[in-house]
Amino acid sequence: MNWVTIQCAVQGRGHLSSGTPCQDKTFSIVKEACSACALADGAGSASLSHYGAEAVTQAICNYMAENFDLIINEEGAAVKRSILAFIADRLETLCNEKECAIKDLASTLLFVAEKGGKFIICHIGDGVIGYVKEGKVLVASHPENGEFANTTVFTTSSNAIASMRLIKGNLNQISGFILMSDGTETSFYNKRNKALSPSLAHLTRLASVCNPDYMSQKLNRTFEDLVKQQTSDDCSIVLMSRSPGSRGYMDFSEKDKCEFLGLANTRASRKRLRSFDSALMALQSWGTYRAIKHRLHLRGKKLDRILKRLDNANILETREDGRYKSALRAFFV
Amino acid sequence: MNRNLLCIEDLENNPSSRVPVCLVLDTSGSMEGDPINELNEGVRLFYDAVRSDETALYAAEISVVTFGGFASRQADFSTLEHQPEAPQFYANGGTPMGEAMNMALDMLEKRKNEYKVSGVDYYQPWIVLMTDGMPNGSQAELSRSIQRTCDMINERKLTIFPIGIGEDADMDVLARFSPKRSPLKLQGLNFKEFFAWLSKSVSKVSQSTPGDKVQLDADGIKGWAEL
Repeated sequence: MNWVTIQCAVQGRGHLSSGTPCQDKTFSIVKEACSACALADGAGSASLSHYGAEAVTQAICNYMAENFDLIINEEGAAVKRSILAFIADRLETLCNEKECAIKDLASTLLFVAEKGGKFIICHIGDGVIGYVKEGKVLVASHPENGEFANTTVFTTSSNAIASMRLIKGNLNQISGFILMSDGTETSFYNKRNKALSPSLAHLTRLASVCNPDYMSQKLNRTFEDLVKQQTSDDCSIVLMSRSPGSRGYMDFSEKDKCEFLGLANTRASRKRLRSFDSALMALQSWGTYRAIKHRLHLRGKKLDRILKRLDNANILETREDGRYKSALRAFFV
Repeated sequence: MNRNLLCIEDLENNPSSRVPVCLVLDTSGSMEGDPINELNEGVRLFYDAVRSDETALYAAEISVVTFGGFASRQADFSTLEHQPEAPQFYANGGTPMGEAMNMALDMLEKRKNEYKVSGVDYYQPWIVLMTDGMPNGSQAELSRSIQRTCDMINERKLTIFPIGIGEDADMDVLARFSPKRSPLKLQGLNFKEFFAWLSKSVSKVSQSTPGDKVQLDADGIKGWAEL
């Protein structure tokens, strides 16, 4: 099973003005047939927490990939203890390198690992872990804050084991996982309803079919322009999406294609999908407007409408020299 | 070209996290003259400073309780966006400090419940208690308010700033409200400086994130280093 991971972390406005580095860190890995991703938010006042966050995300992804089969079959309390002991070991080594106290490396930790149709989720502290099932965005693990907004549990907290959440299960209809820090929470988690924004389904679906470089760049820009403007805190996200098949978008059902392109799921729309499929085939490499028009034998107005819809669906790249290309991962029919 | 993957309407519109601040102020007869004038001016400047700070404006929820003859709620918890004008105080009557503190603590509990129901995050609440004399209300109410305040402080659910004004302020009773830090004696009638510090501190706290130890500028406000 093929999973794609897209991630981004941007420095918050508060940290930018105080000269504090971005303390949110993300990491992902595919190893031993296991896909794992992690996100950690370094504690505000811990001076080296960005190093701690970086170290634990990398270490835990490797640990999960190497030990997935053992962990999935082990008893929950023992898994929690072994994960915390592993993190403590990694941070202890880093303490010696940085000549600091372990609390200087404190961070939250959220991760997901998948292998052979099964998944493991773990969460310490605030931030949210969500998943997408049959097109719906659901919460797997809510933020763990204390009573007050500026309190939470960290990897180094003595009570970490008590509040740590560990979930395992079969993937079945799950098509994506989302990890986010508390800064990102402001934009995507409704605190009154304790629900995640449906817009995350669109992001995970895009991540599943788009060229990863394009998707990373666009996600980063969206976070810089919109998400980080809603808070003074750092903002980060990891999207782990199940690829629909080896041909990406072309493996979508007609219904899914309609939804993806913002078309009503009607017979007429389904008929129009053929024009979009042809256009996306022609747009697998950069081409001028004229060359695309010629290749597709289309009138200008019709091509304009197609390009506009692809742009609105965020799957069209445009270059300053007037060339166009699909932002989807390459597929060859 | 479509620059972003989403538009602003796709994002959730959560309310900003709040810092509840309650001013519990002595307006008894002994505050007549310069003290009450300076207090009015200080609170007005506090409101101005909070209003002019974009973060504090949407985060600070200020309430005011006075004790001059009887405990009176002058302003309930609200941001200055909705309650922009500072109340005006007049000096009169005795010093029922315990009654006023109990009223403030009740208001605080009610507000915290409202935050929880509405999904509004909040920071540790602050109470500023200012007096120029000694309490002369109900002794039972005073003891009860001291106990309630100390319990909350010890459970890290409240921060209190007890301030004595002038030579006759009962610093011992103020100290009983504050088990963790000594009360401060205001130098002269320097309300302005104190309220300027308070507005800056509220702004700092409202921008803090998990794990932050909010370092308050302790110069001139000795003994108060960190929350």
